[in-house]
Amino acid sequence: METLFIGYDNGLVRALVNGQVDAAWALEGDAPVAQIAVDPLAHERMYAATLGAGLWRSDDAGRTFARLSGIPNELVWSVAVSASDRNDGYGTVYAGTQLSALYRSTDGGATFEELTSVQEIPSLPEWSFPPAPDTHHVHQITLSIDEPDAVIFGVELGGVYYSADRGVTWSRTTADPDPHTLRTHPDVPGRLYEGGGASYHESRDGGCSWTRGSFDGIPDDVRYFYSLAADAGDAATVLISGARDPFSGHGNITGVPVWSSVYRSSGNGWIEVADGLPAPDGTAMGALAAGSPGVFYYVTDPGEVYRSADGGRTFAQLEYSNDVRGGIARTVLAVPE
Amino acid sequence: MSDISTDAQLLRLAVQQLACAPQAQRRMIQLGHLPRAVANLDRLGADLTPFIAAGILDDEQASLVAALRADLRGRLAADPDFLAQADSAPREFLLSSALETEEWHTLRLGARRAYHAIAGEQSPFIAITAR
Repeated sequence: METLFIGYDNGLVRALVNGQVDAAWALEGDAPVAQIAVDPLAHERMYAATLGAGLWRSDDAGRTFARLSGIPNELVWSVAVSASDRNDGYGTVYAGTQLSALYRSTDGGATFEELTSVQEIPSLPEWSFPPAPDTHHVHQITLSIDEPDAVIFGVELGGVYYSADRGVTWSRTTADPDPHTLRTHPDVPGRLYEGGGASYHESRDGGCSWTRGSFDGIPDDVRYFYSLAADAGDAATVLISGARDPFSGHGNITGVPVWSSVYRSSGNGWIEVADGLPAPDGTAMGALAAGSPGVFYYVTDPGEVYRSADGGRTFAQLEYSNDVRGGIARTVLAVPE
Repeated sequence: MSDISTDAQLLRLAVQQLACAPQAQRRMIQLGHLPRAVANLDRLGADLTPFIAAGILDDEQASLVAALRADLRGRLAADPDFLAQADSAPREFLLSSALETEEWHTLRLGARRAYHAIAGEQSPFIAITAR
């Protein structure tokens, strides 16, 4: 079983999953929780990135969080903790902000240094978040599980960048330039995944080079992708959420019919996951997460939790033991026991 | 029916869409948003005095919007398929390098200057409600 952490627009819920969802608020407020990260080798230490209230840290496995002060920007979109770059038992932390900037801490978030090299990336003048061009941000960060100097981050919307030298120099990769989700496989060195705005990409060399995945099995009118998760027990099995466009997918534009679905691939084309998930019509894109091997979660509005124990082939909705939930889930993290 | 506030929103939306990253703009072409944005900029930008009179734009902001409109008109005159609509239907268009020319790069930077001027440092989210 897993502990789920669900980021909402009004806080962070910690939920024990054991046949049902036993949830409690771990962080409440007005600032949306954009991303949650756990130290992969020290699960008691977690971080939550918020849009408006900066970065937060937990030292009790996500039961409570305390605000960190080392990042001079309250709009923190992304956070990641390294499994391979360790300091006194804890992973080096990277956090990304709006406007796009990248910060690193080697002391558990007590202090951060900005990686100013990011501001010298030649393409920076073109970075632009579509709904408001002046608000581009570091939407995703992922870190190698075996190369402590490798750092990968993605700008919405401005590309995916790779560094082999802890951010001294950067190269733009050929991944989708709209990196909605970047994931590292927890057990397979070099294996990375991207759920991009227009396509799925994967890397076999730690994020240095990327290959666009096939669209086989995905209807031609499904051209927008968002959340992604890879099976912790089978690096070839991936789930991705898809929609016809951002407006139908996110369901945040009045008058636009809402539609989204989830697709599964084990390397031989995509199959729509229909068994156990809500029907595409009327369902906005939720957040996917991988748990223990073979386990996936999909959290939809308003905090409905669906769990798969067969590698994403089928899902079942979980009941809540209470009603602690927000609205649209921005992000979800599953931490195995 | 149109009113000055609706027109102002459409004008800002047009500038925003011309300021976006190429992949977003290719999607906006597939969805029909960018051609509408271009038409709105051309129509509303032809006479910016109502926006100035209403206090929506100052002279400098109007100048930037007018310059963007003039730039776009010139590029469309030189290349009627400047928006690359002719081959825009397939999925591959979304993944292509269309709109990544030097001409588009220059236009985009001009649009971003105009957008920055009219939206301010803390740009509000502008709902995609173009008609």
